[in-house]
Amino acid sequence: MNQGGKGLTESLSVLALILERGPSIADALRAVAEQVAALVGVDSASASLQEAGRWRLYAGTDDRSRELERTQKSSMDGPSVEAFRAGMAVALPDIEQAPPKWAAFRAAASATRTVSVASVPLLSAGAHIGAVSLYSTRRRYWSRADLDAARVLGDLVTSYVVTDVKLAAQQGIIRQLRGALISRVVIEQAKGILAAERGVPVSEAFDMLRGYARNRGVTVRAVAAAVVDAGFRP
Amino acid sequence: MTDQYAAMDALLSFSAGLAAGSSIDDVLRNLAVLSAMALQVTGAGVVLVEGGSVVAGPSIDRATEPEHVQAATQQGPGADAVRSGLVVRVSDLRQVKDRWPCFSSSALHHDLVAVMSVPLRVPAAGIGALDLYAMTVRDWPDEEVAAAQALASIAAAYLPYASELQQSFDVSARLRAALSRRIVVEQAKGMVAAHRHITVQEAIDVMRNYAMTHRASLQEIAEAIVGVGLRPLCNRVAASACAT
Repeated sequence: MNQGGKGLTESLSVLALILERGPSIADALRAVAEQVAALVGVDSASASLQEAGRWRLYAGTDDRSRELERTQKSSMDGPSVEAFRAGMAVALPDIEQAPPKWAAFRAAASATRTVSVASVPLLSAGAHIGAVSLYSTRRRYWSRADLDAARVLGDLVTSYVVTDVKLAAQQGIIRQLRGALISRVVIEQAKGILAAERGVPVSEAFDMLRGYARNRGVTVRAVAAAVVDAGFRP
Repeated sequence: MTDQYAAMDALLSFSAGLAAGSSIDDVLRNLAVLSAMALQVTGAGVVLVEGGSVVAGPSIDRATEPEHVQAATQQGPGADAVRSGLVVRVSDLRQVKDRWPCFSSSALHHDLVAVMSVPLRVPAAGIGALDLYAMTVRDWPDEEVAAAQALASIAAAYLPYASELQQSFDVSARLRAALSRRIVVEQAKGMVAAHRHITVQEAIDVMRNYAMTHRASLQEIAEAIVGVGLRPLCNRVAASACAT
């Protein structure tokens, strides 16, 4: 921790404090970019969430980082994209040395007087979810400590993003289950009635309800309600 | 002396675990294991605050007994760190036996001489502490404190939202169980209604009475109706039918 363990600890604490307030994903990305920039000591930094072939979201500390992310988003190439795709860090002291296919990124870097770049992937249990990128206006030979610091802070935001996604999925499931607890009552009663009357398993009783509903273009629930409340038999 | 690379490696594997979405229990265990590795100490444990009391969380090696003594007596370095929000450093427990008598004798019994406790804090409150133990006199220099705090601060950041996620998993598991119980009861109501030519509202009364008479739960009766074809006829409501 030659970034100074204390510096990293403080950055982690600040980031922890921000995440504790439950920010939007965009704000969480901006917060990690700001903390990484301050800790490593660079002019600009950004963080992006990506999926194969497209970008979901990015945030930067300033106009330069946002411009560089925007360029990579439209050209689908550059250090952030490469770190995301490969799941490995990209460290480039001299952007002039970048591969030719990064022409758009190189032009944007030159326009914003950006000389050096380093990008670290955001990884969650082997899944690639995005990248954190550092931009310097002076030539910079990136150290392992620089990249490690970005990685640790990036991991914290990754865990926040991943948890947020899981939480949203869980809330959807909870809503569905609550709905099912109400809506399934009459359907299960109708299944029981048909199963008992016709001496068939409940699964078969359900097939009768569903078959009738499909043929008439009505809902299973409506047929079930007619069975239970009005003595209707399909 | 802290090995800077060991400390960073521990931090990297710890944060990667969080990014992978580890359970709270795994996170706390990793916190103990990896901080012990980072600081090259003999024992480590995590205490947590639950309902205003300090309880013992995961611990490794010799730390287990003193950690439980601390929870039982509510006295020890971790308890102090939780209350004060400050790092507690003891280089030689033999010099300060009176501070936490039960805790100290347990630690010394396991040849643990030095202890450091780092609070696990989220903005609102202390949520626990990380206790680290050494078998020799140790001054716990600032760089060791910083290494332990780095690990503790990411754990503290992760725990609140991991716990929210855990709660929502618990809620959906309970709802799922409630739904599957409900399905059986409603099917049974339908079967009884069809069999007795009564409404489903009347059917539930029949099932309740039958359950009461036979000292069974409504759920058990419903399962017997759906599963093995039980038809509850013998009960007070249908006493006349019983004679046939």
